[in-house]
Amino acid sequence: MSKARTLCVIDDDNIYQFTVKHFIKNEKLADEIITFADGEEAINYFTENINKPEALPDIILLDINMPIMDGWQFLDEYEKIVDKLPKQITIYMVSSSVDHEDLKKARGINLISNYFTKPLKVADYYLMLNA
Amino acid sequence: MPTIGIITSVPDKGIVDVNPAICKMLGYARKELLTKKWTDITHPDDVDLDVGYFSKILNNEIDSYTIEKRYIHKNDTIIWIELSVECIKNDDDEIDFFVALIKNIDDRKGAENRLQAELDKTKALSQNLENRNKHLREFAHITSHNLRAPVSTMASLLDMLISENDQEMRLTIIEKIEEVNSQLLETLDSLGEALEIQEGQNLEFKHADIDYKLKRTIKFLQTDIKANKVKISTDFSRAPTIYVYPGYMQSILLNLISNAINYRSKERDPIIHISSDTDENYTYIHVTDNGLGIDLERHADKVFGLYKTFHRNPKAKGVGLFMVKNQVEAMDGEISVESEVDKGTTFTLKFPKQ
Repeated sequence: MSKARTLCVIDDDNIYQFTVKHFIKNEKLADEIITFADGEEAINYFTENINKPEALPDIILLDINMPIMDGWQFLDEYEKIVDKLPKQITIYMVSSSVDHEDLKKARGINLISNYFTKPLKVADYYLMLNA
Repeated sequence: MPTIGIITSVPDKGIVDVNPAICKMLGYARKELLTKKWTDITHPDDVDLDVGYFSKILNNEIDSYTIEKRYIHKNDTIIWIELSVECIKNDDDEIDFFVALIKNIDDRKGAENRLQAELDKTKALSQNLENRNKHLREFAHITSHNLRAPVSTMASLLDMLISENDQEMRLTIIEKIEEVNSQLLETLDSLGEALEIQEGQNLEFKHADIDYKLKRTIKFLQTDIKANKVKISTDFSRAPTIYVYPGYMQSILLNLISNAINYRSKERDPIIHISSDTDENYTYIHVTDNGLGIDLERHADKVFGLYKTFHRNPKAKGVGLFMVKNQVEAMDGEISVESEVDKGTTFTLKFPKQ
Protein backbone atom coordinates (compact mmCIF):
# COMPACT_ATOMS: atom_id res chain seq x y z
CA MET A 1 0.00 0.00 0.00
CA SER A 2 1.56 3.24 -1.11
CA LYS A 3 -0.91 5.84 0.10
CA ALA A 4 -3.81 6.00 2.48
CA ARG A 5 -6.99 4.74 0.88
CA THR A 6 -10.58 4.72 1.97
CA LEU A 7 -13.03 2.08 0.81
CA CYS A 8 -16.78 2.64 0.87
CA VAL A 9 -19.24 -0.22 0.92
CA ILE A 10 -22.88 0.55 0.05
CA ASP A 11 -24.89 -2.60 0.72
CA ASP A 12 -27.85 -3.48 2.92
CA ASP A 13 -26.50 -6.95 3.74
CA ASN A 14 -24.63 -6.48 7.01
CA ILE A 15 -23.07 -9.92 6.86
CA TYR A 16 -21.63 -9.18 3.44
CA GLN A 17 -20.28 -5.95 4.93
CA PHE A 18 -18.75 -7.98 7.70
CA THR A 19 -16.98 -10.32 5.23
CA VAL A 20 -15.61 -7.41 3.20
CA LYS A 21 -14.37 -5.58 6.27
CA HIS A 22 -12.75 -8.70 7.60
CA PHE A 23 -10.94 -9.50 4.36
CA ILE A 24 -9.78 -5.93 3.73
CA LYS A 25 -8.47 -5.65 7.29
CA ASN A 26 -6.67 -8.97 7.18
CA GLU A 27 -5.05 -8.26 3.84
CA LYS A 28 -4.49 -4.57 4.72
CA LEU A 29 -5.94 -3.55 1.37
CA ALA A 30 -7.35 -0.23 2.62
CA ASP A 31 -6.79 2.05 5.56
CA GLU A 32 -10.34 2.85 6.29
CA ILE A 33 -13.74 1.44 5.46
CA ILE A 34 -17.00 3.36 5.61
CA THR A 35 -20.30 1.56 5.18
CA PHE A 36 -23.86 2.55 4.28
CA ALA A 37 -26.96 0.35 4.27
CA ASP A 38 -28.58 2.03 1.28
CA GLY A 39 -27.96 4.56 -1.47
CA GLU A 40 -29.69 7.40 0.28
CA GLU A 41 -27.51 7.20 3.41
CA ALA A 42 -24.46 7.22 1.16
CA ILE A 43 -25.52 10.11 -1.07
CA ASN A 44 -26.44 12.18 1.99
CA TYR A 45 -22.97 11.57 3.44
CA PHE A 46 -21.29 12.48 0.14
CA THR A 47 -23.27 15.68 -0.19
CA GLU A 48 -22.51 16.72 3.38
CA ASN A 49 -18.80 16.07 2.92
CA ILE A 50 -18.46 17.36 -0.60
CA ASN A 51 -15.72 19.81 0.46
CA LYS A 52 -13.78 17.35 2.59
CA PRO A 53 -11.66 15.12 0.36
CA GLU A 54 -10.30 13.32 3.42
CA ALA A 55 -13.82 12.20 4.40
CA LEU A 56 -14.60 10.85 0.95
CA PRO A 57 -13.64 7.37 -0.23
CA ASP A 58 -11.35 6.44 -3.11
CA ILE A 59 -13.27 3.35 -4.04
CA ILE A 60 -16.96 2.48 -3.78
CA LEU A 61 -18.36 -1.04 -3.81
CA LEU A 62 -22.00 -0.53 -4.78
CA ASP A 63 -24.77 -3.09 -4.43
CA ILE A 64 -27.79 -3.02 -6.76
CA ASN A 65 -30.70 -4.23 -4.67
CA MET A 66 -31.17 -2.12 -1.59
CA PRO A 67 -34.17 -0.62 0.17
CA ILE A 68 -34.98 3.12 0.10
CA MET A 69 -32.56 3.91 -2.74
CA ASP A 70 -31.05 1.15 -4.82
CA GLY A 71 -27.74 1.11 -6.68
CA TRP A 72 -29.11 2.50 -9.93
CA GLN A 73 -30.91 5.32 -8.17
CA PHE A 74 -27.73 6.08 -6.20
CA LEU A 75 -25.84 6.44 -9.50
CA ASP A 76 -28.51 8.85 -10.80
CA GLU A 77 -28.04 11.01 -7.71
CA TYR A 78 -24.25 10.61 -7.76
CA GLU A 79 -24.11 11.84 -11.34
CA LYS A 80 -25.59 15.14 -10.20
CA ILE A 81 -22.77 15.79 -7.71
CA VAL A 82 -19.85 14.05 -9.43
CA ASP A 83 -18.49 17.29 -10.96
CA LYS A 84 -18.36 18.94 -7.56
CA LEU A 85 -16.41 16.10 -5.91
CA PRO A 86 -12.87 17.12 -4.99
CA LYS A 87 -11.33 13.79 -5.96
CA GLN A 88 -11.53 10.89 -8.35
CA ILE A 89 -13.65 8.06 -6.97
CA THR A 90 -13.76 4.63 -8.60
CA ILE A 91 -17.10 2.81 -8.46
CA TYR A 92 -17.44 -0.96 -8.73
CA MET A 93 -20.80 -2.57 -8.86
CA VAL A 94 -20.91 -5.66 -6.66
CA SER A 95 -24.10 -7.66 -6.74
CA SER A 96 -25.36 -11.17 -6.32
CA SER A 97 -27.37 -10.63 -9.47
CA VAL A 98 -26.35 -12.79 -12.43
CA ASP A 99 -29.25 -11.29 -14.34
CA HIS A 100 -28.03 -10.47 -17.84
CA GLU A 101 -30.10 -7.29 -17.85
CA ASP A 102 -28.31 -5.94 -14.80
CA LEU A 103 -24.92 -6.62 -16.37
CA LYS A 104 -25.91 -4.95 -19.62
CA LYS A 105 -27.24 -1.94 -17.75
CA ALA A 106 -24.04 -1.65 -15.69
CA ARG A 107 -21.89 -1.76 -18.84
CA GLY A 108 -23.86 1.14 -20.24
CA ILE A 109 -23.04 3.40 -17.28
CA ASN A 110 -19.74 5.25 -17.56
CA LEU A 111 -19.50 5.91 -13.84
CA ILE A 112 -19.08 2.18 -13.21
CA SER A 113 -15.54 0.89 -13.68
CA ASN A 114 -16.40 -2.77 -13.45
CA TYR A 115 -19.04 -5.24 -12.38
CA PHE A 116 -18.33 -8.04 -9.90
CA THR A 117 -20.57 -10.90 -8.88
CA LYS A 118 -20.88 -11.98 -5.26
CA PRO A 119 -19.24 -13.84 -3.62
CA LEU A 120 -16.15 -11.73 -4.12
CA LYS A 121 -13.06 -13.87 -4.65
CA VAL A 122 -9.56 -13.01 -3.49
CA ALA A 123 -8.61 -12.12 -7.05
CA ASP A 124 -11.58 -9.74 -7.27
CA TYR A 125 -10.40 -7.82 -4.22
CA TYR A 126 -6.93 -7.40 -5.69
CA LEU A 127 -8.32 -6.36 -9.07
CA MET A 128 -10.48 -3.73 -7.41
CA LEU A 129 -8.04 -2.37 -4.88
CA ASN A 130 -4.75 -2.48 -6.75
CA ALA A 131 -6.17 -1.08 -9.93
CA MET B 1 -85.60 -21.30 -57.26
CA PRO B 2 -83.43 -18.20 -56.80
CA THR B 3 -81.74 -17.97 -53.41
CA ILE B 4 -81.84 -14.19 -53.23
CA GLY B 5 -84.83 -12.91 -51.32
CA ILE B 6 -86.61 -9.89 -52.67
CA ILE B 7 -88.92 -7.59 -50.73
CA THR B 8 -90.61 -4.67 -52.39
CA SER B 9 -92.10 -1.94 -50.28
CA VAL B 10 -93.71 1.39 -50.84
CA PRO B 11 -93.54 4.47 -48.62
CA ASP B 12 -96.53 4.63 -46.21
CA LYS B 13 -97.79 1.18 -47.29
CA GLY B 14 -94.94 -1.06 -46.24
CA ILE B 15 -94.29 -4.44 -47.80
CA VAL B 16 -96.18 -4.91 -51.04
CA ASP B 17 -94.44 -7.89 -52.59
CA VAL B 18 -92.11 -10.72 -51.57
CA ASN B 19 -90.55 -13.50 -53.65
CA PRO B 20 -90.61 -17.23 -52.76
CA ALA B 21 -86.94 -17.19 -51.69
CA ILE B 22 -87.49 -14.78 -48.82
CA CYS B 23 -90.60 -16.66 -47.71
CA LYS B 24 -88.56 -19.83 -47.51
CA MET B 25 -85.67 -18.06 -45.77
CA LEU B 26 -87.96 -16.74 -43.03
CA GLY B 27 -90.42 -19.64 -42.84
CA TYR B 28 -93.49 -17.53 -43.56
CA ALA B 29 -96.18 -17.96 -46.17
CA ARG B 30 -96.33 -15.11 -48.69
CA LYS B 31 -99.63 -13.93 -47.21
CA GLU B 32 -98.21 -13.81 -43.70
CA LEU B 33 -95.15 -11.88 -44.77
CA LEU B 34 -97.21 -9.25 -46.58
CA THR B 35 -98.84 -8.30 -43.25
CA LYS B 36 -95.49 -7.80 -41.47
CA LYS B 37 -93.50 -4.65 -41.03
CA TRP B 38 -89.74 -5.00 -41.66
CA THR B 39 -89.12 -4.21 -38.00
CA ASP B 40 -91.17 -7.30 -37.08
CA ILE B 41 -88.71 -9.62 -38.81
CA THR B 42 -85.50 -7.79 -37.84
CA HIS B 43 -83.47 -8.67 -34.72
CA PRO B 44 -84.25 -5.89 -32.19
CA ASP B 45 -80.54 -5.07 -31.77
CA ASP B 46 -80.19 -4.39 -35.50
CA VAL B 47 -83.23 -2.14 -35.98
CA ASP B 48 -81.36 1.08 -35.17
CA LEU B 49 -78.62 0.30 -37.66
CA ASP B 50 -81.14 -0.19 -40.45
CA VAL B 51 -83.24 2.82 -39.47
CA GLY B 52 -80.09 4.95 -39.59
CA TYR B 53 -79.42 4.11 -43.24
CA PHE B 54 -83.06 4.11 -44.21
CA SER B 55 -83.57 7.66 -42.94
CA LYS B 56 -80.58 8.73 -45.04
CA ILE B 57 -82.46 7.51 -48.10
CA LEU B 58 -85.57 9.39 -46.97
CA ASN B 59 -83.43 12.52 -46.54
CA ASN B 60 -82.10 12.13 -50.06
CA GLU B 61 -78.55 11.67 -48.76
CA ILE B 62 -78.11 8.26 -50.41
CA ASP B 63 -80.01 6.07 -52.89
CA SER B 64 -78.96 2.68 -51.64
CA TYR B 65 -77.09 0.84 -48.89
CA THR B 66 -75.87 -2.62 -48.01
CA ILE B 67 -75.57 -3.89 -44.43
CA GLU B 68 -75.22 -7.14 -42.58
CA LYS B 69 -77.94 -7.74 -40.03
CA ARG B 70 -80.06 -10.43 -38.41
CA TYR B 71 -83.56 -11.53 -39.30
CA ILE B 72 -85.74 -13.64 -37.08
CA HIS B 73 -87.21 -16.80 -38.62
CA LYS B 74 -90.82 -17.73 -37.88
CA ASN B 75 -89.48 -20.44 -35.55
CA ASP B 76 -87.59 -17.75 -33.58
CA THR B 77 -84.11 -18.73 -34.80
CA ILE B 78 -81.75 -15.99 -35.90
CA ILE B 79 -80.50 -15.74 -39.47
CA TRP B 80 -77.63 -13.53 -40.58
CA ILE B 81 -78.37 -11.83 -43.88
CA GLU B 82 -76.81 -9.29 -46.18
CA LEU B 83 -79.37 -6.66 -47.04
CA SER B 84 -79.12 -4.32 -50.02
CA VAL B 85 -81.79 -1.65 -50.19
CA GLU B 86 -82.29 0.48 -53.24
CA CYS B 87 -84.87 3.18 -53.73
CA ILE B 88 -86.46 3.66 -57.09
CA LYS B 89 -87.54 7.19 -57.88
CA ASN B 90 -90.07 8.51 -60.33
CA ASP B 91 -89.52 11.25 -62.91
CA ASP B 92 -90.21 13.94 -60.29
CA ASP B 93 -87.40 12.56 -58.19
CA GLU B 94 -89.80 11.28 -55.57
CA ILE B 95 -89.46 7.85 -54.03
CA ASP B 96 -91.59 5.37 -55.92
CA PHE B 97 -90.76 2.15 -54.09
CA PHE B 98 -87.95 0.26 -52.42
CA VAL B 99 -86.37 -3.00 -53.44
CA ALA B 100 -84.59 -5.00 -50.78
CA LEU B 101 -82.30 -7.84 -51.90
CA ILE B 102 -81.58 -10.33 -49.11
CA LYS B 103 -78.82 -12.90 -49.16
CA ASN B 104 -78.56 -15.55 -46.46
CA ILE B 105 -75.02 -15.33 -45.01
CA ASP B 106 -75.71 -17.45 -41.97
CA ASP B 107 -73.10 -20.07 -42.94
CA ARG B 108 -70.41 -17.45 -43.40
CA LYS B 109 -71.38 -15.68 -40.17
CA GLY B 110 -71.42 -18.99 -38.35
CA ALA B 111 -67.91 -19.73 -39.61
CA GLU B 112 -66.83 -16.22 -38.68
CA ASN B 113 -68.26 -16.57 -35.20
CA ARG B 114 -66.64 -19.97 -34.73
CA LEU B 115 -63.35 -18.48 -35.88
CA GLN B 116 -63.79 -15.56 -33.52
CA ALA B 117 -64.52 -17.98 -30.68
CA GLU B 118 -61.39 -19.94 -31.57
CA LEU B 119 -59.43 -16.69 -31.72
CA ASP B 120 -60.77 -15.65 -28.31
CA LYS B 121 -59.77 -19.03 -26.92
CA THR B 122 -56.29 -18.70 -28.39
CA LYS B 123 -56.04 -15.19 -27.03
CA ALA B 124 -57.04 -16.34 -23.55
CA LEU B 125 -54.55 -19.18 -23.80
CA SER B 126 -51.70 -16.92 -24.85
CA GLN B 127 -52.66 -14.44 -22.12
CA ASN B 128 -52.48 -17.31 -19.67
CA LEU B 129 -49.09 -18.35 -21.05
CA GLU B 130 -47.88 -14.80 -20.89
CA ASN B 131 -48.91 -14.58 -17.24
CA ARG B 132 -47.12 -17.83 -16.50
CA ASN B 133 -44.10 -16.56 -18.34
CA LYS B 134 -44.19 -13.39 -16.27
CA HIS B 135 -44.35 -15.43 -13.10
CA LEU B 136 -41.44 -17.55 -14.26
CA ARG B 137 -39.39 -14.45 -15.00
CA GLU B 138 -40.27 -13.12 -11.57
CA PHE B 139 -39.07 -16.36 -10.06
CA ALA B 140 -35.86 -16.30 -12.10
CA HIS B 141 -35.31 -12.80 -10.77
CA ILE B 142 -35.99 -13.92 -7.22
CA THR B 143 -33.59 -16.82 -7.60
CA SER B 144 -30.96 -14.49 -8.96
CA HIS B 145 -31.33 -11.92 -6.20
CA ASN B 146 -32.88 -13.46 -3.15
CA LEU B 147 -31.24 -16.88 -3.23
CA ARG B 148 -27.87 -16.15 -4.78
CA ALA B 149 -27.18 -13.38 -2.26
CA PRO B 150 -27.32 -15.45 0.94
CA VAL B 151 -25.64 -18.42 -0.72
CA SER B 152 -22.72 -16.29 -1.88
CA THR B 153 -22.44 -14.67 1.55
CA MET B 154 -22.36 -18.16 3.00
CA ALA B 155 -19.51 -19.06 0.64
CA SER B 156 -17.53 -16.02 1.75
CA LEU B 157 -18.11 -16.85 5.41
CA LEU B 158 -16.96 -20.43 4.90
CA ASP B 159 -13.78 -19.19 3.19
CA MET B 160 -13.19 -16.92 6.14
CA LEU B 161 -13.77 -19.71 8.61
CA ILE B 162 -11.26 -21.95 6.87
CA SER B 163 -8.45 -19.40 6.97
CA GLU B 164 -9.24 -17.97 10.41
CA ASN B 165 -7.22 -19.13 13.38
CA ASP B 166 -8.50 -16.82 16.06
CA GLN B 167 -10.98 -18.86 18.10
CA GLU B 168 -13.20 -15.95 19.04
CA MET B 169 -13.39 -14.75 15.45
CA ARG B 170 -14.26 -18.27 14.33
CA LEU B 171 -17.21 -18.26 16.73
CA THR B 172 -18.38 -14.92 15.36
CA ILE B 173 -18.18 -16.29 11.82
CA ILE B 174 -20.16 -19.37 12.78
CA GLU B 175 -22.84 -17.16 14.30
CA LYS B 176 -23.04 -15.27 11.03
CA ILE B 177 -23.31 -18.50 9.09
CA GLU B 178 -26.22 -19.53 11.27
CA GLU B 179 -27.85 -16.15 10.67
CA VAL B 180 -27.51 -16.40 6.90
CA ASN B 181 -28.74 -19.96 7.00
CA SER B 182 -31.94 -19.01 8.77
CA GLN B 183 -32.45 -16.14 6.30
CA LEU B 184 -32.07 -18.61 3.50
CA LEU B 185 -34.58 -21.00 5.00
CA GLU B 186 -37.04 -18.16 5.44
CA THR B 187 -36.65 -17.17 1.81
CA LEU B 188 -37.22 -20.75 0.69
CA ASP B 189 -40.33 -20.94 2.85
CA SER B 190 -41.69 -17.74 1.32
CA LEU B 191 -40.98 -18.98 -2.18
CA GLY B 192 -42.59 -22.32 -1.45
CA GLU B 193 -45.66 -20.56 -0.15
CA ALA B 194 -45.83 -18.30 -3.21
CA LEU B 195 -45.50 -21.26 -5.56
CA GLU B 196 -48.24 -23.06 -3.72
CA ILE B 197 -50.48 -20.01 -4.13
CA GLN B 198 -49.75 -19.82 -7.85
CA GLU B 199 -50.41 -23.50 -8.32
CA GLY B 200 -53.66 -23.25 -6.38
CA GLN B 201 -55.86 -24.16 -9.33
CA ASN B 202 -58.76 -25.61 -7.37
CA LEU B 203 -59.61 -22.67 -5.18
CA GLU B 204 -63.18 -22.73 -4.05
CA PHE B 205 -64.68 -19.35 -4.82
CA LYS B 206 -67.55 -17.93 -2.82
CA HIS B 207 -69.47 -14.69 -2.58
CA ALA B 208 -67.81 -13.54 0.61
CA ASP B 209 -69.32 -10.90 2.84
CA ILE B 210 -66.62 -8.22 2.94
CA ASP B 211 -67.75 -6.71 6.23
CA TYR B 212 -67.67 -10.09 7.94
CA LYS B 213 -64.18 -10.90 6.57
CA LEU B 214 -62.97 -7.51 7.71
CA LYS B 215 -64.36 -7.87 11.23
CA ARG B 216 -62.58 -11.21 11.58
CA THR B 217 -59.36 -9.64 10.31
CA ILE B 218 -59.64 -6.73 12.71
CA LYS B 219 -59.96 -9.19 15.59
CA PHE B 220 -56.47 -10.48 14.83
CA LEU B 221 -55.09 -6.95 14.89
CA GLN B 222 -57.04 -5.74 17.93
CA THR B 223 -53.92 -5.20 20.07
CA ASP B 224 -52.13 -3.14 17.41
CA ILE B 225 -55.26 -1.16 16.66
CA LYS B 226 -55.80 -0.23 20.31
CA ALA B 227 -52.14 0.51 21.03
CA ASN B 228 -51.87 2.87 18.06
CA LYS B 229 -55.32 4.49 18.35
CA VAL B 230 -56.20 3.39 14.83
CA LYS B 231 -59.58 4.55 13.55
CA ILE B 232 -61.14 2.21 11.02
CA SER B 233 -64.13 3.23 8.92
CA THR B 234 -65.89 1.23 6.24
CA ASP B 235 -68.44 1.58 3.48
CA PHE B 236 -69.53 -1.57 1.70
CA SER B 237 -72.97 -0.31 0.69
CA ARG B 238 -72.13 -0.28 -3.02
CA ALA B 239 -70.79 -3.84 -3.05
CA PRO B 240 -71.37 -5.89 0.11
CA THR B 241 -69.89 -9.11 -1.28
CA ILE B 242 -66.96 -10.15 -3.40
CA TYR B 243 -66.41 -13.35 -5.37
CA VAL B 244 -63.14 -14.77 -4.06
CA TYR B 245 -61.46 -17.61 -2.23
CA PRO B 246 -62.31 -16.47 1.32
CA GLY B 247 -59.08 -17.79 2.88
CA TYR B 248 -56.93 -15.58 0.67
CA MET B 249 -59.24 -12.61 1.07
CA GLN B 250 -58.72 -12.61 4.80
CA SER B 251 -54.96 -12.90 4.47
CA ILE B 252 -54.94 -10.04 1.93
CA LEU B 253 -56.95 -7.77 4.22
CA LEU B 254 -54.73 -8.72 7.16
CA ASN B 255 -51.59 -7.79 5.22
CA LEU B 256 -52.94 -4.52 3.86
CA ILE B 257 -54.33 -3.35 7.20
CA SER B 258 -51.30 -4.33 9.23
CA ASN B 259 -49.16 -2.51 6.65
CA ALA B 260 -51.33 0.57 7.07
CA ILE B 261 -50.74 0.35 10.84
CA ASN B 262 -47.00 -0.38 10.63
CA TYR B 263 -46.37 2.49 8.23
CA ARG B 264 -48.46 5.05 10.08
CA SER B 265 -47.29 8.61 10.37
CA LYS B 266 -46.05 9.73 13.76
CA GLU B 267 -47.59 13.13 13.08
CA ARG B 268 -51.21 11.98 13.20
CA ASP B 269 -53.47 9.24 14.52
CA PRO B 270 -53.87 6.52 11.91
CA ILE B 271 -57.15 6.44 9.98
CA ILE B 272 -57.90 3.52 7.69
CA HIS B 273 -60.88 3.58 5.36
CA ILE B 274 -61.99 0.39 3.65
CA SER B 275 -64.68 0.57 0.98
CA SER B 276 -66.00 -1.39 -1.95
CA ASP B 277 -67.66 -0.58 -5.23
CA THR B 278 -68.57 -2.25 -8.45
CA ASP B 279 -69.08 -1.80 -12.16
CA GLU B 280 -70.44 -4.05 -14.88
CA ASN B 281 -67.75 -6.71 -14.64
CA TYR B 282 -65.67 -6.14 -11.52
CA THR B 283 -65.86 -5.63 -7.79
CA TYR B 284 -63.29 -3.34 -6.17
CA ILE B 285 -62.02 -3.00 -2.62
CA HIS B 286 -60.07 0.09 -1.61
CA VAL B 287 -57.88 0.25 1.50
CA THR B 288 -56.85 3.84 2.18
CA ASP B 289 -54.61 5.07 4.98
CA ASN B 290 -53.17 8.43 6.05
CA GLY B 291 -49.72 7.02 6.75
CA LEU B 292 -46.17 7.56 5.52
CA GLY B 293 -46.91 6.77 1.87
CA ILE B 294 -44.57 5.20 -0.63
CA ASP B 295 -42.39 7.14 -3.06
CA LEU B 296 -43.85 5.51 -6.17
CA GLU B 297 -41.66 7.46 -8.55
CA ARG B 298 -38.77 5.64 -7.03
CA HIS B 299 -40.32 2.32 -6.15
CA ALA B 300 -43.27 1.78 -8.50
CA ASP B 301 -41.82 -1.37 -10.08
CA LYS B 302 -40.85 -2.88 -6.75
CA VAL B 303 -43.85 -2.40 -4.50
CA PHE B 304 -44.98 -6.00 -4.87
CA GLY B 305 -41.51 -7.59 -5.18
CA LEU B 306 -40.10 -10.10 -2.71
CA TYR B 307 -37.89 -8.64 0.01
CA LYS B 308 -38.38 -5.09 -1.18
CA THR B 309 -38.77 -2.55 1.58
CA PHE B 310 -39.25 1.17 1.35
CA HIS B 311 -38.87 2.50 4.84
CA ARG B 312 -36.17 2.11 7.48
CA ASN B 313 -38.56 0.08 9.58
CA PRO B 314 -37.12 -2.92 11.41
CA LYS B 315 -40.47 -4.67 11.09
CA ALA B 316 -40.36 -4.46 7.31
CA LYS B 317 -39.46 -7.75 5.71
CA GLY B 318 -40.73 -7.28 2.21
CA VAL B 319 -42.84 -10.43 2.13
CA GLY B 320 -46.38 -9.17 2.77
CA LEU B 321 -47.19 -7.38 -0.47
CA PHE B 322 -45.44 -10.06 -2.50
CA MET B 323 -47.79 -12.66 -1.02
CA VAL B 324 -50.78 -10.36 -1.43
CA LYS B 325 -50.04 -9.95 -5.13
CA ASN B 326 -49.63 -13.70 -5.59
CA GLN B 327 -52.91 -14.39 -3.83
CA VAL B 328 -54.76 -11.69 -5.75
CA GLU B 329 -53.49 -13.01 -9.08
CA ALA B 330 -54.27 -16.60 -8.16
CA MET B 331 -57.89 -15.42 -7.85
CA ASP B 332 -57.75 -13.74 -11.31
CA GLY B 333 -57.68 -10.35 -9.64
CA GLU B 334 -55.45 -7.33 -9.90
CA ILE B 335 -53.90 -5.08 -7.29
CA SER B 336 -52.77 -1.53 -7.79
CA VAL B 337 -51.45 1.21 -5.56
CA GLU B 338 -51.66 4.97 -5.40
CA SER B 339 -49.62 6.84 -2.86
CA GLU B 340 -48.32 10.21 -1.89
CA VAL B 341 -45.40 10.52 0.49
CA ASP B 342 -46.52 11.72 3.92
CA LYS B 343 -50.17 11.81 2.82
CA GLY B 344 -51.13 8.16 2.60
CA THR B 345 -51.61 5.14 0.43
CA THR B 346 -54.55 3.49 -1.31
CA PHE B 347 -54.42 -0.11 -2.40
CA THR B 348 -57.14 -1.16 -4.82
CA LEU B 349 -58.14 -4.77 -5.36
CA LYS B 350 -60.11 -5.68 -8.46
CA PHE B 351 -61.86 -9.01 -8.90
CA PRO B 352 -64.11 -10.34 -11.66
CA LYS B 353 -67.73 -10.63 -10.55
CA GLN B 354 -67.91 -14.29 -11.53
